[in-house]
Amino acid sequence: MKQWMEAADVSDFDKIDRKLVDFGGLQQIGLFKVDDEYFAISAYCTHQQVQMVHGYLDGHELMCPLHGARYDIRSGEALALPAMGPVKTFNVRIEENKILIEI
Amino acid sequence: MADIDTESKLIDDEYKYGFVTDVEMDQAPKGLNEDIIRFISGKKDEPEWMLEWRMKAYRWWLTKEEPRWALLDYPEIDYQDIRYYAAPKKMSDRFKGEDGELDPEVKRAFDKLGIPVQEQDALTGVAVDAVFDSVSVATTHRKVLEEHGIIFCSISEALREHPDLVRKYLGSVVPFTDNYFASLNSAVFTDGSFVYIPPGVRCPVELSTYFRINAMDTGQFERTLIVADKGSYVSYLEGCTAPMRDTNQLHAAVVELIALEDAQIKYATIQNWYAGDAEGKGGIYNFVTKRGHCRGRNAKISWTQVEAGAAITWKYPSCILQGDGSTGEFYSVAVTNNRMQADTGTKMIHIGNNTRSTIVSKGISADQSKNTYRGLVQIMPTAKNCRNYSICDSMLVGSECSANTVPYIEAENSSAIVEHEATTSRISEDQLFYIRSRGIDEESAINLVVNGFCKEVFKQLPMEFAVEATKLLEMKLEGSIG
Amino acid sequence: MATIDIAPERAANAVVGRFDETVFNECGKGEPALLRAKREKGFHVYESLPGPTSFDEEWRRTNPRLFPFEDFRVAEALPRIAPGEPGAHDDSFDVVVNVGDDGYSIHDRTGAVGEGKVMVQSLAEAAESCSELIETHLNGAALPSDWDKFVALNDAFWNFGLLIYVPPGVELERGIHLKYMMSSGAGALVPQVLIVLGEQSKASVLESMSSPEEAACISIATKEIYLQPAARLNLVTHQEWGRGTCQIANDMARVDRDAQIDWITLNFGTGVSKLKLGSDVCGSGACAELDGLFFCNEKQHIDQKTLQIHSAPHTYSRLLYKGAVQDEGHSVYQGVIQARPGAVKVDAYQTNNNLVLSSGAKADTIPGLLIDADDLKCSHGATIGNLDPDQVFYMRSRGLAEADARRLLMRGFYDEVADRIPYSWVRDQVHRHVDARLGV
Repeated sequence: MKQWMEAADVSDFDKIDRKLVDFGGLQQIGLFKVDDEYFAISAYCTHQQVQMVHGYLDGHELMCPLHGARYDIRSGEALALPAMGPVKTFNVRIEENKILIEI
Repeated sequence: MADIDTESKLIDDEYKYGFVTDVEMDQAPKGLNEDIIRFISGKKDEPEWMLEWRMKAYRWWLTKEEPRWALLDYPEIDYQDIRYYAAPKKMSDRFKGEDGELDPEVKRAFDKLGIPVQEQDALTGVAVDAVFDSVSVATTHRKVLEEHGIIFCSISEALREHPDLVRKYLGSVVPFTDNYFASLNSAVFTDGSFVYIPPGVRCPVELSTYFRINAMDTGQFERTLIVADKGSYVSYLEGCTAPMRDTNQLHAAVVELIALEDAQIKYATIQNWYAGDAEGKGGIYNFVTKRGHCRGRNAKISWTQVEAGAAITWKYPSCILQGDGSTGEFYSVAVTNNRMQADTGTKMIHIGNNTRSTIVSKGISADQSKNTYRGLVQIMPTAKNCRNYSICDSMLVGSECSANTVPYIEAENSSAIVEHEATTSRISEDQLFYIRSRGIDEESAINLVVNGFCKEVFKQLPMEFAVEATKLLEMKLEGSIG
Repeated sequence: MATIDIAPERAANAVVGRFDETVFNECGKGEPALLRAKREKGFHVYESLPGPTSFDEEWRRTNPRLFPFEDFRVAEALPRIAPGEPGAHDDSFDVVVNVGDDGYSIHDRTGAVGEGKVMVQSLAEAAESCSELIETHLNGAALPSDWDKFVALNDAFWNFGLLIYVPPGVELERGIHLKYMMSSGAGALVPQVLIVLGEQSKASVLESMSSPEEAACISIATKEIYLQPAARLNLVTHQEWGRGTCQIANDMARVDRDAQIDWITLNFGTGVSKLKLGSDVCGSGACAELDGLFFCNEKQHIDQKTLQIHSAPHTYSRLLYKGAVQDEGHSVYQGVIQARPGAVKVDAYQTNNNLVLSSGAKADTIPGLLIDADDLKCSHGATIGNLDPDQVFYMRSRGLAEADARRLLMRGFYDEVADRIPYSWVRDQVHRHVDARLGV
């Protein structure tokens, strides 16, 4: 059953473009801000399941720093090998300066 | 079985390719920095985007660490102590033409190796692109291939004559971010072959590239890109040798194969780089990234390799089976003797439905060498009805060598069938006894057993090369019985 | 929930969960000096080894984050208590050891202990009564502290220790049942078991583990087994922990000249477990037969690594591990056959068969051969597939409903190993587990 969980504050993104949010267990989510919009994807690359939130972000394209797999953070689509498949995306909404992710 | 005198153990003065060619060279100074990369790009007269691509790769490489997870033991490589460009002077400032004014010393070298580099000497049925250190020095059969619309030339030439085609495909199978050695190669590669087979064309001749390292303290970083368009077919062979030296030289190549719908690429390698002497001094470090992408439906890529040289081998020719119904094959014989070390294998990644892969790996270890098969078979959750069959056998000749098999199998789909088996054993005494009881001497008996062991792989090679491979194995194992 | 540091940890903290120095100083109070010395050595090694991260090859397929180490306090040493009500099959055994939240009991049912046919004692008692045995074998050649971070953790923080010793020449008729039952959460169970079989002795041991499905528990266990020349051990490990339980286990047996171990491991429980077990046949003529069964369903994650080590010539080992994955279950199996230099005339075989019953379930298998000797034969085979559709079709054409056909085929698949289990009720339980997961 999905629920909306508080992930961060809008003000957190004044100076940075991303945050790694930990909901416990293996629920780590990368929260990104691009052009005033927020996107949330699973933090793990589908190639070797390493955490990739700190990879190179070019527009809406995130590159996993280990082997260069690339994803569109809007749709989760895998854009370049060695990404094996799409990465899971999560809905995001803003409520009174708080950023919520539906998990 | 009687013990063989250690004196008669194989020493590499049998390596008949170990000569050095004395030819005036145009060389870059040792070391690696942005200037060297600009120098290389300039020498090749490359388009601006190519230089940028190299720079991106170089900067990425600087942030990475050399991988050390393989079962290989070797000293630190000093990347600043390598010369990244060396070409016969006569070739480097001019582009070779059809009648190529080849430096006579270089021609002599290739003659000695038995590689015909001039059109008039060309073998029928085999087109050759010859690469000497950092440059391609000759390519035969150009007219015949042009008639079919086939492009077969050095990659430097392809960047000048067909830049859009190269740009479309270069780095799409092995991105510069892939691994440490691929990043290095992407930054400093100097030559290699480019092949493009147009739709529906069956290449009428075998294509082959022969790599020769000559200059001291150089590394060889070749890049090969083969694109088989829809419904086409090409069979390609790669050969390589190097002089005997007591220092190590680095060979970090990248080979990318792309097979579109219904296309087939057969890629064979007979690798005989200098492997170092009996004490393990000298020899080539062979760190290669080879990958084939079955992009379209029913595409097929087969890798066949006979690895008989190099002090250290690290290579995993792989297939990404993306198109539905595509097939990947890997046939390998890896022989190690003296103090050689090999960590080699393959990766078969099943992404499309109804994809098939076959892996046949035969390893032979002798003396104090170390031979490891490392492979991956991965079935993605959405890949239906995939099949893989792998067999990895290792034969030990002598009591001081080691053979390891490390296959990784990951299946996430309920309709997949994966079967893997592996056996490691000593050369069969029963078989030897039977053959010897028929009056055949020990040495020949061993060769017969080894041939039987490798038969399934040699079957995949074009005939002349199968003969060469057999002879190569015989030479490597001479005197190594125990 | 917390927002955490961006770059992933490459080198983890040496302290795992709450297993730190303060807690260590509270462990083993009042123990004999011999045990104290071993604990300190274990702690020293524990401190020097880094904690697990998913960048370590060992943990690449089993993310250490799956184990909520911080949620558990380190439990105090379990006291000895009087035996309670006998369990269902206690009559089949000479000795029954029950380990629960409140303490452990040792019930000498047939008088075997009294007659000296077997010694079943806490490590503390054994340190006094047979100190030489403890000195030589505890944390010894089979499983030294530096084997693994969690072996070192166990050596330092164990809260339940048991010695089972069968003197030379004795054949124990009914064997021993070691039963673990955890119920309350919060306290970590850290058992350390030492089994020594004297020359030419023979014994069988059944180890079973269970806990309620929802109880959040953790067990970090080690088992060291020493079979002296010509000894024979039949061991069945029946792991049925509830889904809320996590387990890390490291078990190793040293099998000496002409000795034999038959060891069946049944892994049906836990939500996530990481097990490393195996044998070192270290004397000529030694044999090891290792079998295992598992079934990962729902969100279970079971990671098993088996070791068939051959340190001596003329040794033999056989392994057959079979199991299925379903729903979102993930099984990782890694099997190593290692022939050390000089281990000639070795005959070793390893088979791993996996059934992937639904897409989305995952089976990883990594059989391995590390061979440093030549005059031998070592092989492995691994298969991954689903139930053979032809066989299902055949049965259906004979009038069986699909569900029944599948159940029969699964029964056949598992019975290859289940038939070797010497305890009929355990066999029945295996059948029940499989049927339940199939939804029959």
